[in-house]
Amino acid sequence: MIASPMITSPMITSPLASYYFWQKWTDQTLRASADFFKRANSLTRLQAASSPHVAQTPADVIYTENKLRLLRYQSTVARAAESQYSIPLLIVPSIINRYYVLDLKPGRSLVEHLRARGFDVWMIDWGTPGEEDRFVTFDYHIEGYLRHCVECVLDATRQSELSLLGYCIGGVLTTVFAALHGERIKNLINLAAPINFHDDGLLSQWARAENFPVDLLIDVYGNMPASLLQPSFKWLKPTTEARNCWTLWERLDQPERLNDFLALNQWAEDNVAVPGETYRKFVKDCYQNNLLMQNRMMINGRTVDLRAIQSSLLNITARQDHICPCDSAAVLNELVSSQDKEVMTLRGGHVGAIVGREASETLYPKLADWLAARSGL
Amino acid sequence: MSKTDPFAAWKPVQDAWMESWAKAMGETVSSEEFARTMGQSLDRYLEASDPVRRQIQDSMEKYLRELNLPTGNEIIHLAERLTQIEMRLDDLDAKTDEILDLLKTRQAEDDSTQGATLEEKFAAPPAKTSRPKIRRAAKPRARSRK
Repeated sequence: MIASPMITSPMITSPLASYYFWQKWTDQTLRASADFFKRANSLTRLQAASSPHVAQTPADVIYTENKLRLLRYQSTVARAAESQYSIPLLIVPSIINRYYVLDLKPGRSLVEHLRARGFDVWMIDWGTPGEEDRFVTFDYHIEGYLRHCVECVLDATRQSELSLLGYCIGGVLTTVFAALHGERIKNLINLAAPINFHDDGLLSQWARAENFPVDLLIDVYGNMPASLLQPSFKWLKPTTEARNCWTLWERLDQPERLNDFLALNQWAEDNVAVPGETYRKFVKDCYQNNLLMQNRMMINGRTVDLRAIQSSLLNITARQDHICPCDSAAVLNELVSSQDKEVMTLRGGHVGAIVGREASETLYPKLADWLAARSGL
Repeated sequence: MSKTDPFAAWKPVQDAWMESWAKAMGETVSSEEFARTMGQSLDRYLEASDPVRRQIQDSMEKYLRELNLPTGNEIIHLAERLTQIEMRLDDLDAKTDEILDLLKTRQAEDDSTQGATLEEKFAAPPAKTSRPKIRRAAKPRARSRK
């Protein structure tokens, strides 16, 4: 008999092996199909379910001004419990997204972690600007809103200085404020806050004067609409939407991870408009002319000189940050006069490094330890 | 990866395809031509849409006035005035707090100088140790839009 692969194959020569092979194949196929229908069923139920609950750490609204709210987070132990540390912490989020990214959900909340460690945590909720806010300036965000919030925190806590933590554009605001009112700032923490806006990043390229008609845009629209801001961030990574669809499909049978994904996705879709004059000045002074890094930015007639910053500085950057490249943020440490300063570089992107799964295990404890050593008892 | 799982073979193909697509799109959006084209498109769109937008707005305003209904701009102006009123109330609140603080300080001084001689009573008061209330910064006035 002529030897051939067909004749020598176990499928042919061993009926029992063949039987087991097909049985296993059928079993795998049926299991995969069942998994597919189970996920499809989860997807259908998901469409009818309510949005994930975010910003669950209880807080009191201590001060309001226009759309702004100043929140004070209650102790996780008892409402009237005193904080362990005397220096309060004021968190300043970005003005183009909602504040609750730093209080996403239990277990994914920087606020919750710091409160549990005994800090007196305050946060600004910038609110949702309306058409009537189109003339609110960048200067007013610093010398108006932020200054009033700082004074409110200091009055309420009877302290003469506080710690400021700024995330993204919030970090730009806190840096400018620390340069102008350094006597009130004990510690400055920046999370992925750009300082050098002329870098290799895409936003720097897209926002150049020859590529981005910011004056015409604001003159036409009044405010910078969220409907234009959101796509611009999505275009930084064009395949994000497709990846998100696949990620959602993969997590449909993992309730905990699915909830994390949905909470973060809700925040990512929750952009707000930016007051027109604020946006105009921010783009022209920062992205187009890079005045902040050159110590030439003016706020209410005063020059913002980064060398005036003497408070303790913790500058946190993310290695894969496509919105604020590492070097764009880290450069601040070379420009300030602080003696006590440090750069902490994390793994992850602009948002992932701050609110991802690893953040609660690495970033939050390190940040709390750094702050604890500088917040008095 | 099991040889008998029919769906297992799809995942690496899908991952590889997604990776190459992401790379190609990333290179496209990083190019100078893309940035320039997007800027020019936005510029042309804004130039073209602004007159149309204004015309629609003017027509809507006329129509709403005929029906005796408020226009969007009128509601926005009302909101601006409400914000200004809020600011003035906050300023009044801050001033009232300042006055109360001064009265309390004065009362405390009077209590401590009870029984003192006239010279001691009208001696220079001690320097204030409390931090003064910060007056609210002036809110930018609305400019008229062209």
